[in-house]
Amino acid sequence: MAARAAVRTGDQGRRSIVDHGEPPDRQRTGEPAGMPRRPGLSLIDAGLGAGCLASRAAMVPLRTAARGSGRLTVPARRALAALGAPALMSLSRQALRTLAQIGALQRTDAQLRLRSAVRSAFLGIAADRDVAWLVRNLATAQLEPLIDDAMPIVFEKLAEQPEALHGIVQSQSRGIAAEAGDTTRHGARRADFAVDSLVDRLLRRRAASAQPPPEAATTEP
Amino acid sequence: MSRPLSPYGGTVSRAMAFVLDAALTLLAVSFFVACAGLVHAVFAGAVFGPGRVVSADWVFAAIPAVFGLYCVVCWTLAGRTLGKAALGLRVVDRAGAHPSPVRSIVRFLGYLVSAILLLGFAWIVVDVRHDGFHDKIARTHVVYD
Repeated sequence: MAARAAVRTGDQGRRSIVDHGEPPDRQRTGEPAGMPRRPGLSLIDAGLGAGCLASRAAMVPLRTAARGSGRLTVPARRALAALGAPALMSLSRQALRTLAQIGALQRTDAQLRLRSAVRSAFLGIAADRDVAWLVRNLATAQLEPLIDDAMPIVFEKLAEQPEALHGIVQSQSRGIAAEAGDTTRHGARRADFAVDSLVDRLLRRRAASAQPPPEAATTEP
Repeated sequence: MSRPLSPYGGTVSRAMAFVLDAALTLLAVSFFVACAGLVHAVFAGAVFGPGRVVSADWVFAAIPAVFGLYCVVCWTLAGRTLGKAALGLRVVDRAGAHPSPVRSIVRFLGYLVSAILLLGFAWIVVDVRHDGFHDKIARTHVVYD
């Protein structure tokens, strides 16, 4: 409380951190007030408050001495400096360290928020219908002249090498035919298996698969 | 499938192969008749009927003959017809080799026996090696490739 009171009488910029009860970033993001505060903010409260209190405490004898004599003597100044300077320096260093830690935390937090915002922006752009329509139209407008220019060249090349075109067409046709044949064969074998199973169950006999194949049928390539 | 598939060609595969072969034969005969009719129409007149180039009776009689020739040649040379090849089946003798020409002819004639009330073909369903009467007569099997 002493530190907070000291800060209230001190710098106005620091008051914005302390007096509002919540840090500015929490107020901005709308986090609930009842949530536990970050440890860094309480440290800066303590550090800044202690620093200001110490500086005010050090100024009191100086002002008193100045009022009494109108001017401090050199030994008095040295004595006061010897008494107050180490404590002030120590408090200032601590406050600076605390500020640096808070700065690092806030920098990391800001980087994470920035990445999230950029990702959300990209996703929003990618899913936007207007953008998709625009990209499609732009791509079509750019590509169509290129395709129109390239097609005669492609046809010329294919006309120079008809074997390549024949090969492509034949391989595609064979691939389609082979796929259709495989599908038919697999379907027929599944049906064979189902019929065999049914007949074996009806006749209550040993499975037909237990029969050995003809001798050379399995050895022939 | 909890058990291995039998090495012998199953009922559905064989039926599909047979239908495919029959369809090919019909297509070939129809194509031949159409070509012959076209040629005759160009040079003489109509195709069917008395005194015409091809009688319908002869066409119907030619279909089994063409089918038999096709089967015998294919079984002897390759061990399979086009339909059986499409379904991954092969005709082998008891030793596992391609049937000889005589065995192929006997097998085709066995079709005629099997066709009596279709009993020979129905026997494929219940036989443990899926042999029809024609397979029993010619001592052949139909196996998966």
